[in-house]
Amino acid sequence: MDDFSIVTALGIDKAEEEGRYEVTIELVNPAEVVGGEQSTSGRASTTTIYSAKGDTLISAIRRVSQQTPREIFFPYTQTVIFGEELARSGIEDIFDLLERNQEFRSTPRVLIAKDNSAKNILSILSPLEKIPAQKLVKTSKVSGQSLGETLPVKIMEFVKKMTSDGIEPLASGVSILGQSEDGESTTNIEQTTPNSLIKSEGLAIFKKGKLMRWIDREEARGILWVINKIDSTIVNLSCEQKTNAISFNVTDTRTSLRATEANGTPSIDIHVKQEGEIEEVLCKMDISNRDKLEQLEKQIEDNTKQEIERAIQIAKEENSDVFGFGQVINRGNPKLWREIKKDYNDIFPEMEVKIKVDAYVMKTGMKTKSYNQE
Amino acid sequence: MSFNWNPFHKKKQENHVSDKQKVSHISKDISQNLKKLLEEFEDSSEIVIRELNTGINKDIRIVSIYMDGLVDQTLVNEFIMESLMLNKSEFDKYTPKEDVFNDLRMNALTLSNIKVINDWDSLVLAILSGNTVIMIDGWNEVFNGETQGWEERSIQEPTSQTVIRGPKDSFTESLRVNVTLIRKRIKNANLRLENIEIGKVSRTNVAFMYIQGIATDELVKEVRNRLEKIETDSIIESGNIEEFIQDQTSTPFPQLINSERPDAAVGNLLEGRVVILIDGTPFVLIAPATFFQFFQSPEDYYQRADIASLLRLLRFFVFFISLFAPSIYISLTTFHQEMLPFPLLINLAAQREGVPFPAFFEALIMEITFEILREAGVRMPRAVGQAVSIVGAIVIGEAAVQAGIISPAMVIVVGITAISSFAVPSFSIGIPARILRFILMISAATAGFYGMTLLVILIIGHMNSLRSFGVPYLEPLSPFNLTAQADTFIRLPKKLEQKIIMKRDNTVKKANQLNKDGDTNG
Repeated sequence: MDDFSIVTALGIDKAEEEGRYEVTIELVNPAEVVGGEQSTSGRASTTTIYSAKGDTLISAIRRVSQQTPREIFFPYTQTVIFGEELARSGIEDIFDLLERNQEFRSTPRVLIAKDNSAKNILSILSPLEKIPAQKLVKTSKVSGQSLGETLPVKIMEFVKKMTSDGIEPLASGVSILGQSEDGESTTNIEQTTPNSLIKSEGLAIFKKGKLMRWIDREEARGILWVINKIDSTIVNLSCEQKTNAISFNVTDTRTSLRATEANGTPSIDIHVKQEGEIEEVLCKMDISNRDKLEQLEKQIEDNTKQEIERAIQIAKEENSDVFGFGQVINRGNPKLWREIKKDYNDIFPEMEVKIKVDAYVMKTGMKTKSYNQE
Repeated sequence: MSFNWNPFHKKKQENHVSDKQKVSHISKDISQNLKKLLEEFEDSSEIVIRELNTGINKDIRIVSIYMDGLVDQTLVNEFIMESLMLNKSEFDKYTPKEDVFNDLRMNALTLSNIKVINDWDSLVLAILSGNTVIMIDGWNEVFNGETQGWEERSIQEPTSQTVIRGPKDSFTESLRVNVTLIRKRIKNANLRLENIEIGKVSRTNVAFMYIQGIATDELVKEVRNRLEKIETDSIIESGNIEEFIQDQTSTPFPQLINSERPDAAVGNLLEGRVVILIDGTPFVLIAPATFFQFFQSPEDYYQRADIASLLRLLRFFVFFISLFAPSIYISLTTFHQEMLPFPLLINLAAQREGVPFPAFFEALIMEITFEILREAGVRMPRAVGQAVSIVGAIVIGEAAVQAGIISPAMVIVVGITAISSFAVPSFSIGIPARILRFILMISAATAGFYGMTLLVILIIGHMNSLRSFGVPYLEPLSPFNLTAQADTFIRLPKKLEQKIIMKRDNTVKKANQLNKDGDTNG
């Protein structure tokens, strides 16, 4: 056990010289993570970054051993991060090692370093979580759950989508807030306001293994509505006087997709069902009134519908079927899919999508009246 | 007492004697007898010979002989000497020489248990057993009066098999007391006792008890055979017998239960087993024994069924820990790190940092240290006992960790292993765990879980091959017996268990009925 170092994150960037890839690995310094008696307490950083270049991933990884004293142990890799540059030029081949080698699990999350290199992202030490890789994964998980704009996908899922017909993969982005140089030392985490932080941000749309476009906020949420990956999210609604004055927390949402066919051209029906509760009211609205609630429900439906429409529009612009409509057609009408499979690239941007949203306000919280309304 | 205490009439004894000499008879000449006796005892200072003359002509020489210390002096004084002396005057007046023997037996001796013996060997044994022998000049038969009585430990609380709720008495070193402890719990004439004398030199009294009708005849016969076949000089403890009568010698697994609890013995008798009692030890042997029986405490039956079942399950778990904990730790840290959850791995890795030994040696050092402490704790004089706990806490604990020799997790593993090995109700089943633990550690250090699995397969195979008095060691798991599961891993409440057994009996009956009908029809 003391003969190897545990890798928690693997960063892959595009290299200009000395090989095709620059690999960055984050190794844990267990004594610092655990603290207590074994710790030299705060004298060393919890993780150390090593990087090396090579034409293939494994050759680069092996080259890291020039710098590390111990064998490198991969099963606990939490995340694989791709630099944006590399992601834009295509990451289709890279997964070969990750799938072929028995030391890698299928569970590390795929993250894309937005406007940055993976190496920089991994260099940032973060408060609260001692291991940066865990911080990355947890942040994008938690924000995905409570905000509904990011989606940390496992390698396995990513590869499955990438290699299947009729669906394209998505990946969450991470970016650096502040100066990345400031984040590399432990002084960064000794402050209440760290100089530099990692932020989970954006959804990367891929096409044929290449990063096509970043989308964010409502647009990103539009995609996640469709692929049924929203745990909970806040939708802001307007009342008569104010815009965005009522917050609705979607606690349960289910989306069903159905493919229909008319004259050999497929179309998709999206049916979203949302349930949730009113979280915050900043205007005079009597939410104990059923009619008013129905108005709100209508607003939610429209809102969601707009988001979805926008998301579909973007996907069509990039011609990347991140929703997996192709697979929906395949499942619903395999015969049709066989016919259109070849021309799907041309069909998808023109495909008709019908959206239906049903929203229900289930609860209004622990009070009925707002402050303004007495 | 409804059983025959005196072992002299047992045929067994003749075998011993015949090895050296023919049965030698007692001479009619009392002087010759006395001379021979004194020769044999080489003027032992303990032997007491009391002579008196009686009869009309004062020509009847009566001699009583006993060993000082082995007899109850009161018994000898009141029931032998006094009756001889008081009746002496009567004898002096009326009894002719030829009637003295019968008169003495019929009218004089007030001791209740008087026997007549006529061979020399029995005579010597009687004296050595603490009986008083009364010789009369001119007769080649002597009286043997039961006057045994010596200082004995009184009945105390069991020290090695304690319970919270349940009887607090335990067997003592006296066979007679032990038999009494059992007999007073089963007031049934079918409770049988057979005596055997074992040990050419020690001539130890061994008895076995069973309930006729519950214990099978084959089992009783087998026990009797095996006991009779023992050829040895001496029997000091139940362990001596156990070694001779166990089915398989080359195994770490015990095939007989030993107990110092009368209630455990009684419980086993009622379940059809045989209890072997040995004079001179508070431990009795119970046969046959299966593996799962060692996990049953008598208290299981005194407590409510729910908690008894849970505790029984806990004991199996505890046995598992005491057997596997160090080897699992070794396997995980040397071979299967990827099986650990990430935070735990980091934690263990941090602890192992700076530890100079591989996990296997670390575990071995600690386990051996613990075994040393344990042995020292048992052998040490009580007065210095405290030193063990103080030193023990240093070598297996904080100090070892602080010195950086041992990782804290290892201390926890060894600690839980140690305490687990004491939580099994039967000390003897802890022994295989103790031995196999080290072998498992080696296999874990060689080939991880794979090696452990191979060894466990071997162990289970071996256990499956064991028999205890013909009963498969892993019964009722292998061969599987569904109804017996009611009292194996868990204990069902009595009412429920009875219902199940009744149901089974009915099914068997029905099946038999059907078979019979089928036979007659077909």
